[in-house]
Amino acid sequence: MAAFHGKSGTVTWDTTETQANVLSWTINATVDMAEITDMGDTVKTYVAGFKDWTATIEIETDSSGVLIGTSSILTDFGTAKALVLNDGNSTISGTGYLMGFSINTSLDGIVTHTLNIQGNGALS
Amino acid sequence: MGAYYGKTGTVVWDASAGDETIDTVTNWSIAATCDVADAADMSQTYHVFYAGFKDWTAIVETNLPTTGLEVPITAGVDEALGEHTPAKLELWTDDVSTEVLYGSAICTDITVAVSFDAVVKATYTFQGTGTLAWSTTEPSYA
Repeated sequence: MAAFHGKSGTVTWDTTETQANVLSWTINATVDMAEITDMGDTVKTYVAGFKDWTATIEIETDSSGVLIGTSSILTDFGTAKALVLNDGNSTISGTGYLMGFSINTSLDGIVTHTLNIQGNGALS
Repeated sequence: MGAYYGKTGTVVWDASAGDETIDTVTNWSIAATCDVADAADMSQTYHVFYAGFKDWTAIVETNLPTTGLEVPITAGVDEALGEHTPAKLELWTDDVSTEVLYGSAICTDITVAVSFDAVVKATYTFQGTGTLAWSTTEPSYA
């Protein structure tokens, strides 16, 4: 059991579209908490509610355009498709909406774009 | 009495079911808070507060091992978050002085971060539910 490097990570969109030039990806999975503390308690107590997840993918933009997978981000903006995130060792997948993006251009750096995915349903 | 290094700290999740040590921890932190209600009125010049409910959360940062996520040890992200029943979380400051903070918690947030120029990281956030205890001996669970 050992740590491992992220350099072999991959991202696939819409089942078959391999994302090129990925710099990093992050997935954040959460569960809502409802507080059930009442009078007489001294410490807060909670029960778990709905699960949720989001993902962020940072990409080095190339001359092919600003893409998610092999699709234009404007084409898939607001659309839910299958997302597969591989860290080089294991895979996390689910269906998510491309719910936002940013394009980052600087006078002293490479152009990158960042994709924000809102998960829709379960992760596996 | 002196300061000591954090490199031998450990984290145990679902401790009442066995010692499920979370491996490859790089750091952990715990934040305990207490609600306060402001009781100041117009006759006063300073705020006056009364203590309310206590609360606590913990964050455990790890280098993700090749065996995958460890909360719980054998399950993936979705199943981990499906553990709606709180489990025992033990946060050990040191394996020499045997000082441990422990209590029931629910894992509310798992973040996996992958970058082309760094090791893969996994971060777990826990919402404490009920009392946070401090001990210098091994906690025992009924």
